[in-house]
Amino acid sequence: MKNFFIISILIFYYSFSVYCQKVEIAGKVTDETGEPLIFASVALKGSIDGTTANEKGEFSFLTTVKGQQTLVGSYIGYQSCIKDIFIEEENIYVDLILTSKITQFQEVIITAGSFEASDVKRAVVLRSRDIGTTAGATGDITKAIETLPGVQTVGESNGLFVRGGSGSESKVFIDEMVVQNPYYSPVPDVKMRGRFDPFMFSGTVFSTGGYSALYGQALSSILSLKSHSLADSTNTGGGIHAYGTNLFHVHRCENTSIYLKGEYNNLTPYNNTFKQITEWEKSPENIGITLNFRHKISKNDMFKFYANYSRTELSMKYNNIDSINRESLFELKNNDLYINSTYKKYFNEEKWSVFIGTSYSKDIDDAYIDSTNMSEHEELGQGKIIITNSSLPGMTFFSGTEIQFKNVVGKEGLLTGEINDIYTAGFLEGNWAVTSNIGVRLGLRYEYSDFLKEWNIAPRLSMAYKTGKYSQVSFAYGKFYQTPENEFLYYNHNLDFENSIHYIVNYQLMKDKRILRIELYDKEYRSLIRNIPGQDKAFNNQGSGYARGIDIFWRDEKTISNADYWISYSFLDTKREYRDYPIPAAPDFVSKHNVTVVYKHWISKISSNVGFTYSYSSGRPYYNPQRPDSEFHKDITPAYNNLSFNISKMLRIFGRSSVIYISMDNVLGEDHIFGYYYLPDNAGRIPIRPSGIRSFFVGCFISTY
Amino acid sequence: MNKIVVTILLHIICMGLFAQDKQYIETMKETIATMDTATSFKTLQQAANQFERIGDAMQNQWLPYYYSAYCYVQISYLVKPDQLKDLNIEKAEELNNSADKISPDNSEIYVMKGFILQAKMNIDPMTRGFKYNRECLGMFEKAKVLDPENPRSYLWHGVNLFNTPAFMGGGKEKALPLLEKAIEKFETFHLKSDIHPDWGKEYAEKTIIKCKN
Repeated sequence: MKNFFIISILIFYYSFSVYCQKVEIAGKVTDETGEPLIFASVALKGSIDGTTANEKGEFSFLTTVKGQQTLVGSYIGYQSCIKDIFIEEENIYVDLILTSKITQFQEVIITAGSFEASDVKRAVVLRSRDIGTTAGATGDITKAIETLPGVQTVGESNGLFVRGGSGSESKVFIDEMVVQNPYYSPVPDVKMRGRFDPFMFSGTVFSTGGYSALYGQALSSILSLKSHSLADSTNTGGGIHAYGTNLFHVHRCENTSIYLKGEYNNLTPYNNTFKQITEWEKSPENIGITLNFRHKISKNDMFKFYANYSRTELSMKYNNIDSINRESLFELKNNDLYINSTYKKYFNEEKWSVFIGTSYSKDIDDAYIDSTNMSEHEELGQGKIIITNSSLPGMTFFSGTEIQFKNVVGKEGLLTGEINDIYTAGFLEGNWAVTSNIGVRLGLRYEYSDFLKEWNIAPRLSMAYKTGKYSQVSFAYGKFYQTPENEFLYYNHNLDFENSIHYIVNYQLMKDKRILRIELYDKEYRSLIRNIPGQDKAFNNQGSGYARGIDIFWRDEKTISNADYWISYSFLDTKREYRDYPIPAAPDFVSKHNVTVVYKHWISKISSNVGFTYSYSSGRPYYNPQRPDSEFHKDITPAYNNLSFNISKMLRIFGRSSVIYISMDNVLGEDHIFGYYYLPDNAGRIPIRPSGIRSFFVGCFISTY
Repeated sequence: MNKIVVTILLHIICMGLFAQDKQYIETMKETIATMDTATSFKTLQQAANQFERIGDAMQNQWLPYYYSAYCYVQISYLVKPDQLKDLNIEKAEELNNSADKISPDNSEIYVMKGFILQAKMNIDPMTRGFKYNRECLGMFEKAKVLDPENPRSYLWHGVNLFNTPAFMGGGKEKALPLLEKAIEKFETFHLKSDIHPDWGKEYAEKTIIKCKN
């Protein structure tokens, strides 16, 4: 018995010493391409043993643990590598190869044609706040977008004019739902602001072409705005400015937020103070109410509701060469309602998601020109469903359908035109990160218009290839269809979609808060609307055209401390043979060269942001009836130069955080001429000018934050 | 005889447990020393890795995860570009949440939550300030409620105000009383063990000097 006891103790000590014998585990930690992962962590699961790799990715450590074990290599931004090893007495050499999680910052993102402004972690060209802080933009999303390359500054008409496209070729989307009337109703020769407050949105995607199959009915460009989810906190605020006043309240509960805003604008005091070129009989007066409701039903689903109502009244005299007095009185009363509600739910660990959206808009333009009724009433109901799946690694698919019911009634004196359309579309798209360097996006869109009795299939393809750590090349191709504008549809029922084909090649270098983008594009227009000669209000689809050019964008937030600037340059070569053009010619809304420089400087001493925007556009063609048809659009307006300046000072008023905002457009007082109206019988011509030479904006905004 | 065997076996088991506990404390002490004296990304990363390994091995200790999170926040201030800073902060959040699960309602962990949010804001204060600042201050407030004697909640609340521009409701004058209170609490702070959080006093003193200038 005693012997047994001694023996067992001996055995115990023997095994203990064996147990304590240390084994070395060594190896190298690399990524898939063999690059060492410096200072990666290596651990034996369940024990404290392990180490940190050195500068060459090599590691070695001693352990006393024995038997079947698991070795784990981990590194930030990479999937952990797990290896089973069996530890006996010999040293072990094992290599650990980690695969990169496709984290947003390494992922190849297709950049051809698209500018993204958002607050997400990924590096972006623009940030949401840029829209509010760009001089000359005065909080108008459209005007901020005009500082990007490929966008033409057109001072007298609504819309975004992109790469030789007209304003109506660009569509605006809020939370994936199309907005029928994103701008205040058109007024002759006056550019109206966008209806939407830029601070409502946390993300903006602006595409100058080659966009996703999710979007249709836009020949040139889309602007997709993503509204905020829950408001950050309860807050009340308001502002008073040169054009009016507003007041808002946001209430935030745990999973719900409600935002209510009322505004009243009246330009009478402003127009009386500063001399206007436009003769206002009644300066624009507008009231607006916005309601925003957000509810996070659970961790995985979100409901958003947005409603906006506004009423605008104005009247003005404008140059009208067709009228006997060469001047007409334009009167407008507009009522606009827009409702948008969306619901999104994620399933199965966010591998699946469903999006359901509906929107309704009613826009009533009661317009009169010298008491001739020119009213237009538009109504649009829309539904959209999108299902997204991302269960396969590196792949995302979505598919969905949409339907739009549209009714438009347009009057022109005693004539009444009506459009009743049911538009349906289906779309399917796949995003595939082929390797960590190559990304492909392939999409298809089907559309049918019940009014036109026509259908189309539009393919979309984009690819991106990372040429280096900071640079990439992308390519985009796509076909885009759009229903002709209302004015052509009222009296013609046999028209087809207009269409365009985009080819885009893009190079982007993004390093250390500096961005360089160069983009070449070619756009072919087909089936454009053409007037049938000799017939009034008769059109066919035999028009065509092209637009090609180069866009260059440079942004630098690094070189000058506390300052940020960007420079955009666009060269555009375009011609069209459409509408009533006798020969292929550049449209009157395009200029060959466009340059924009935006500069912003934060001066912390006076807690102010100071900035200027300079834009130059070479002259635009205009119609001169004194020339023969073969010289159509041969004449060019003077070049456009505009320097805007702004300063926003942050301060506390009544102990609340506030901003005082001052801005001035066309500081140098340049004479801007957008074109000419020629009077009959060689009686001279009237230039088309903006409504005022300079424009000012002064405002003060207070919140309870 | 049986009694002797049982006694010896018990003794060995107790020895083992004691040794394990002792080893834990020793390793923690060593790693804390590495972290405290770290001047480079390399040593901080080593400490972060080591803390995480300890945490994974022990499973029921919040301190290793807490310290690992603390290391990652410090790393986030050293690395570039911003996206990499964000990845490090995300990692810190993950680790601190693991600590939170093991030890809920722990004042130190709430201070760390605020400290992490602070680092997140610092990457892009103009864009993120509005979004995270309230949440961040909320964490320090909660930390104060959970343990009014914790000096670090006053310290980081003070530092937050010090870094917030006056027009946003911050400023030196508002920061100073909080920082002074932090110093007061540091003087009387009772350390639970050698390995419990005991950092920030020097930083508080430095910030007070900056406030007074």
